Amino acid sequence: MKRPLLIGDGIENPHNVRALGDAAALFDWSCGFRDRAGLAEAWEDAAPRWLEDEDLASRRPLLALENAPGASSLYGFRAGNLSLAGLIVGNERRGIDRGLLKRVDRCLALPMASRRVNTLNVAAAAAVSLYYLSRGGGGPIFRRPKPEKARPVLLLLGGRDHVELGSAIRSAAALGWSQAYVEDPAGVWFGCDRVTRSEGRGAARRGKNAIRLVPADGERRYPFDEACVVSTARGEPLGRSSLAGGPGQALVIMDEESREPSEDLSRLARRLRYIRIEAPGTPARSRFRLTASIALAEAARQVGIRTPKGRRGFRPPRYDRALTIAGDEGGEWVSLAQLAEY
Amino acid sequence: MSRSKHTRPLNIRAADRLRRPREPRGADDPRRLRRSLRRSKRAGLPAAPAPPPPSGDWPLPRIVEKRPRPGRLHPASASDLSRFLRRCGEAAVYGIRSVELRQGAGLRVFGRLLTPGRVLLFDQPAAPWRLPVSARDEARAMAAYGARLDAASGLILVSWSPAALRDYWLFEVLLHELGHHRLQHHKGQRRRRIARSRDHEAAASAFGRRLGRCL
Repeated sequence: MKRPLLIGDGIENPHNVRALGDAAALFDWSCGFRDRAGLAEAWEDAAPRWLEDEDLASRRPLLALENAPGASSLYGFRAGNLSLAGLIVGNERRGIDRGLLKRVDRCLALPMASRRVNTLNVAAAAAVSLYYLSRGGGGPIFRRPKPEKARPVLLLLGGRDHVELGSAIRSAAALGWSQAYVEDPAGVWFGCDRVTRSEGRGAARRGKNAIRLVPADGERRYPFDEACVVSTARGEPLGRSSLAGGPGQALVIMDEESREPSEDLSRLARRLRYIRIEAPGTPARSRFRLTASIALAEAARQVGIRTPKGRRGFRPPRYDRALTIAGDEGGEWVSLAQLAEY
Repeated sequence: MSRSKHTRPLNIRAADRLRRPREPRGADDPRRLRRSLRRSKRAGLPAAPAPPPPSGDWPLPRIVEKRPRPGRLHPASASDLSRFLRRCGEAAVYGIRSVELRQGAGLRVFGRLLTPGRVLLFDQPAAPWRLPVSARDEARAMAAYGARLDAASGLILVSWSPAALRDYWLFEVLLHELGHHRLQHHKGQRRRRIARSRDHEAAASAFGRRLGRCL
């Protein structure tokens, strides 16, 4: 039986190749690549599946994930029957090939909240897209008068991989979080060696990522009312969970590769809620960046954007003829008759 | 004689525009008339008569009357407004799209101009009005129109006869709003605030007094 296909167009980084494969496997999609840069020799150990033009021609609908003009929002997009669908993700720096972009049926984009960090890691973006496409689009993005009041506090329970943690931090900044608590028991982020630090910060795009990271130790107790712990293991479905509870709610994303699912997290909040990402497949490796990006994207969708004012925001001047009230000078009016009686 | 519709004096421009609002530019340009006469003469056709100058009553802005709330009334009716606006003349009314009698709130706001060109007049409570003592200047102005003032318990009671209240409404409130409109409309910035509030109010009051003396 044919499965929908995730297509990497001109991917340069072999680590991203593996991560894309895991993202596709998470949602039971197959994964293939188009090599535009002649980097096959660099991918020897990644062993990707090479695609030809005929493979793409048979895919309908053929979708592209790209911040192109006229792209539709991923939130609420319904693709219909996905059994023959193809989703193209592009080169990390240059995006999808322009000739290929003209051949796609629809271009999709994930709405970003930040202007400085306006892209996700390619595998993280692919995972978010596959999550929404597999669910029939989910709902459109919420609109609120003050969306920042609905944004939960972010707590990342990191593991042993600094690149995964860095990509998760990049996703958090891109989707609107300005601060995050980070538990780093393995010491891959705070107080690490120079190479680890450099790679992690590079994955997080720290040069233009202004998110404030607060180190938190593993024994700390938090004063939150509710903690929503997101994983792929257990809990209520992510699509049915409310993740816009405001500053009293903590969105906790755990690195399942290095943390025990049964870890006691009652110290995080008065009330604990487990949330599961509905993913039918089983990847070779559970990647923190994929789980985190999907959870953050859903939380960002529920937090929403500010209600646009539109034409009602512009008010032409109005001029009143109203009762003129002089300054209050105190005292009291007394009539002549009252004065005579006094 | 100016051929441009934009540089003619206001009185002429208002009279023409109110009667022929959709006329294109240069419709009464003498050069066009002469050109058409020459063409007719060359073709051997009888000359088309010149269009008659606009005459007759000019159309009034739309007058909308909403029912007042219980216990309140409109000091001036729709027929009072239409008669008064016709007395004001084309120059004062040019650009007004509608005059609306609406339900208001409280005693504070009498009328409002919503740019461009919508004048709202709000219903008021039945007499006697109870004004705070700090509105004594306003009360004296009402007395000039025939209101009777009494003092009671730190308030000013204002009693009206229907005719006096109507005159106050038309000459004081409606002309004031027409003054705001005049300033805003003829500066060509219909949707922008073009003067400080204090100056705008002063100009509107001055216009109202000036036009009121002529009526």
